[in-house]
Amino acid sequence: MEEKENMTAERSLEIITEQIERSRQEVTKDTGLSLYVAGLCLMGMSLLIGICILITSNLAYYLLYITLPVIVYFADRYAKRNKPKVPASFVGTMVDKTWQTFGIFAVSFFVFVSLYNFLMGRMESPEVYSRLTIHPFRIILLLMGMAITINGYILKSRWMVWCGIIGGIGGFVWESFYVTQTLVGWIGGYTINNYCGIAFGIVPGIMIAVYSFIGVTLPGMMLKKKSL
Amino acid sequence: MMFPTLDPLLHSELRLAVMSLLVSSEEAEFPYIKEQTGATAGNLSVQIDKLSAAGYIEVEKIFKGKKPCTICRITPVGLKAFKDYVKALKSYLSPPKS
Repeated sequence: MEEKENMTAERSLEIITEQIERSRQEVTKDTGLSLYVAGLCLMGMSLLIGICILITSNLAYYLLYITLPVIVYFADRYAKRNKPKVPASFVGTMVDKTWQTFGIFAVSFFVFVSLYNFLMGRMESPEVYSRLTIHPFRIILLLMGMAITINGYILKSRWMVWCGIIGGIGGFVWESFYVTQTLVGWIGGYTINNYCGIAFGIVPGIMIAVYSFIGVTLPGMMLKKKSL
Repeated sequence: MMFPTLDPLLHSELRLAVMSLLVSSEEAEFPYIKEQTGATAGNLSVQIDKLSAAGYIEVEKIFKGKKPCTICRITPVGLKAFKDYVKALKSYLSPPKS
């Protein structure tokens, strides 16, 4: 851009509009890249945890989710290396804050439930424990559906709103009625050794991966390609 | 009919582009402004200094690790000047009926 001072009023307005629009597109693309990276990390992590539980039947692998914010942070920095830092926009900030809120609530709830289940397992008899135990997955699916729905409203994407509502409530009902475990029981093909790995490992892992793809990766790809 | 005077500091392509960019974001780093405006580093630096001297923007120089980094932010004075400039432009494009 040259240094011209004899501009017409039309040219001045053109520069203002052009610059604001260009900045908005750049910010939207940047937000899209962040969401895309976070979505891929979440998908990879959920599948990795699912596979680890499938192989070992050890539910402690769920604790790997706690490392996710750090992994997403470094992956995001790596994806944006050699690029100038893009300033925050209102839409970008809203999307970021929604997922941050989800992260805070989901991780806190997960840590509380893990401790609670661990203590109950130590203090109570197996019969009492089986009734007292809390399965965190259904609440996390509900929270995730809520976050997807809010993002759908922010990004003005109707299909995302409905994916969030159906996925969140559907996932909650699915998990509350132990549909996965019932289906695994009906279909069979498991042994006493790998039942835990299938019902509590790989199936929830695939479900979280699908949710992350719809709620995080796909909107990220959309934002990266076109600005809203 | 009298037309309002356009702020000479803003009535320049590059300075106006920088201000428009900063109006739509809280703050922006020098390389980002350079990339968005397509200006040369030297020219951009001179125009940023002029805007800063007028109090329209504030410039903060920090270090990111070992690399120096210049951050520009629009000030309330700059925001008001920008609003007045746009208002004046509108009157040029659609002059009030007298």
